[in-house]
Amino acid sequence: MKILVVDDERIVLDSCQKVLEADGFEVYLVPGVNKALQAMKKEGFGLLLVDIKMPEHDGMYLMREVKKKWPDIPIIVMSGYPTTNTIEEAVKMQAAAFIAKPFTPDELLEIISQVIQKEEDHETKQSPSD
Amino acid sequence: MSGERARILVVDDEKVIRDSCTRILTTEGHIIKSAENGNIGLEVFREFHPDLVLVDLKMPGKSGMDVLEEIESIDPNVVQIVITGYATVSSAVDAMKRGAYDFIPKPFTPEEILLIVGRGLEKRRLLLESEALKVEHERIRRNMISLVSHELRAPLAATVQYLEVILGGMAGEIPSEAKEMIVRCDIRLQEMLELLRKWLNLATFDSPKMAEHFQDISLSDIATESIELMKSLAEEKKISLILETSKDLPPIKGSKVSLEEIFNNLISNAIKYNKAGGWVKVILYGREEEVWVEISDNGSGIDEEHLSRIFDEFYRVDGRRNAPIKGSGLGLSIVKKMVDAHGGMIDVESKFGEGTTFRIGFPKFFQRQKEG
Ligand SMILES: Nc1ncnc2c1ncn2[C@@H]1O[C@H](COP(=O)(O)OP(=O)(O)OP(=O)(O)O)[C@@H](O)[C@H]1O
Ligand SMILES: [Mg+2]
Repeated sequence: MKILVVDDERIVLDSCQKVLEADGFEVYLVPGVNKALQAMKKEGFGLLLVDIKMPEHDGMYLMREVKKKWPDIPIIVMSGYPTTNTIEEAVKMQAAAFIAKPFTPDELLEIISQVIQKEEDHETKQSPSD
Repeated sequence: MSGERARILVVDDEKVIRDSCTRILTTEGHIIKSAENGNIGLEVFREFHPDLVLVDLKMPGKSGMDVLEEIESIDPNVVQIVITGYATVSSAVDAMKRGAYDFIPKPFTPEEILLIVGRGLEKRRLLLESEALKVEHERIRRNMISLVSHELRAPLAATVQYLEVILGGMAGEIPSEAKEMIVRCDIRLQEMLELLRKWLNLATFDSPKMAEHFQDISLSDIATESIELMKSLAEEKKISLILETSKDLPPIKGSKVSLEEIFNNLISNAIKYNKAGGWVKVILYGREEEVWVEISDNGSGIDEEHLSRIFDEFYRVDGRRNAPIKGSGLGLSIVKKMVDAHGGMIDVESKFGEGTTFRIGFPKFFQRQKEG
């Protein structure tokens, strides 16, 4: 599966790449919202990992754009500001999950597998069984 | 303001009063404008931006009281003084109840009006000063939030992010001695991150914004999840966690995230400040208007002299830097703020050496409307 990671912090991109590639995912890294939207036009991603509170455009803006154009791609919100209000906002934007930075490799993989599992359950429920 | 040129507006239908006010106050160096009725007065007010207004209560047309009310809504920091005849002192008292600063009965001597206006301008100076302090305070608060989140927490989080990847073995093999050291760094840095997270949570907590996300919440679900989360912490200290909840517990209106925060803080305290083999009990029950939460423990208890201060920011009973039990002293301040945001109340009972009970009452809020 192809995963797009959007974060302005080099260390976070690098960490996600190491963890996700070791687990067999194909990983694309972009430093901001505009680059993310460009990448999404070219590639079909199965999952997005998005930082909220990036300079330039806020991650919330990216989420709204993605929900409009690619409503089926689940988004995991990462944040270095896991305050009550930030989490509430992410929930309201229909994030598939929330992960506080910094995370351990296991926490990241666990959350991704939960989200993928939920998506699969959802799809089998939607398509008529044969 | 006193000693400086002030802008003063006089609204009175009597020409003699307008003229004498203008003459007396101009000699003091102030800038005076006057108006013969309420409507003109308000027009002048909007352009002139006075520091102080003198308003006659009894005028034909728009009443002085209405003029004062409108001025109040345009700029609450303008000092209002009421001009009144001797026969209508009682209405001056009414005006003062509604926010006028002082009154002056007609007729008055130059000394009288100078005294009262002088006091009024001093009041104006204090109002402007406290306004400026409020703005300055808010500016400092914002800078502090930005400093803590961007300059402290973000780089720290990135550093720890790398440590986690290194510890996860994703940057190659680590010698076991080095690994032990990295683990210790990691733990210390995590404590710092948690302190910064709590401080930011407290400093940026926005209760009106949170109320927008209110939904029906089952407190027994929240309690169950929180107990699940605290299980490993409790097992480490051999502490048993007990949940008692009535079957038909009604939901409350609230925010899931912050209710979790409340339970996590109180239950983790009850475990942290407890002894091996102790217990922590969470009891939930409904009463007419509220749902009650009791979180009790048979841990260390809190001495009477500290009890009133435990909700203060950064307050810890054992405040030593190297206290054996670690913490920021922010947990209960967050709890208090979040209980308030739900319209609830919290109190604590404790006996030193025996244990502690925190009791929270949450209003069911919209519950009653639905029933009726
Ligand atoms: N259940 C309890 N039993 C005994 N003492 C308690 C209990 N709960 C709180 N206290 C005392 O009140 C103080 C303040 O608690 P609070 O939760 O605000 O901060 P903390 O636990 O020190 O730090 P933090 O929660 O941020 O990690 C604690 O330091 C402790 O001394
Ligand atoms: Mg605490």
